[in-house]
Amino acid sequence: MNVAKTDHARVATLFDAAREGDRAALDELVSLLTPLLWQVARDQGLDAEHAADVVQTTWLRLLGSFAEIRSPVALTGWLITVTKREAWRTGEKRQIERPLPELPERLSEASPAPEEGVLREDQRVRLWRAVDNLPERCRSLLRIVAFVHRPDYAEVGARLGMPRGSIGPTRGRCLARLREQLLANGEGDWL
Amino acid sequence: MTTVEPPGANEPLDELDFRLLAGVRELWEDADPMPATLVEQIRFAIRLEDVDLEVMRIRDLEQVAGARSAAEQGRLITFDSESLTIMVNVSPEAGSTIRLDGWLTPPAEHPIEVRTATGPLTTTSDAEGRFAVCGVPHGMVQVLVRTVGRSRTVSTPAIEL
Repeated sequence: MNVAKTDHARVATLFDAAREGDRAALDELVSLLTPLLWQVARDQGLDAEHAADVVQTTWLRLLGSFAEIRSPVALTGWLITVTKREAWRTGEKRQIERPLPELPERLSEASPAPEEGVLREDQRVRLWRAVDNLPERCRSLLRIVAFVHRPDYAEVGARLGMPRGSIGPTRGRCLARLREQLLANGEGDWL
Repeated sequence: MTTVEPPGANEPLDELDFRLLAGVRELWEDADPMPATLVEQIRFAIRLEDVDLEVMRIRDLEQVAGARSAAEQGRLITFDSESLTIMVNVSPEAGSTIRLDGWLTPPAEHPIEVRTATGPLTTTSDAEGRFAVCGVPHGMVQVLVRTVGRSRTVSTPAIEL
């Protein structure tokens, strides 16, 4: 089952080429992994402008560090760690208690492409409510893990400093909590 | 916080889990979308021959929020790194280009390259660390200082002017 949009096999191919100096491969890695890093930076509480700067800085730093990075999984971990560190170094005031942003109306709803998303409208609302009910650390973990491919789960959990709630070969505490909410009260219409 | 593990936490991931994660991703993409230009901006910034970079951080002195593209008013941007500070004053010119007046600290004569969407513009800072570049087109701009006597090139992030 390969629902995640970040194709790990593709990242692995690009990783080897980019390390050898292939700039087109590096450009494609930027497209594949920047959405993840954006969420990492925003989850650190930065405003949009600082988050964009931090993500860019992370990629610039990668140019000099590529030789030290041994595998595609290590690359994901390295990028997450540097993004978090750069976010911290901005010294910006960060909101500690952050309410979940309001879920916008799906823009594509009016367009003739209802198959685009994986969720129906009622599922969106229920899933977002369930995410809102999670403890903050679980919400952060799932937010980031949702943007990586399965082979990276364990590494990502470790880099986020929460191996115990993490997802790996097993579901882990956070995802189990999310499921528990959605499957309770006979609301389990997910398959 | 020690709590009892929720049911199923030790079970292997199944199809529903992957669907939920894909759903969570979709919701975050809607709720907190990445700026549309971010990937292009990063690609511009990393299209460098130098890989051994000292990357500067932006420390804005004026007009912090929402003024990133307001070169019209003239503004001062400060960049910091471990070894260097650059203050850059951005001002409009006739003919819809902009002029950059820079000041390096510590002051020294170094080759300076201003990367723009239409190609690089080069100059050299004087003994007081000052430099000026005219005719810079609006759009992505990145300043590189090829510090004399050191192997590492100092680079600002690319910013939209």
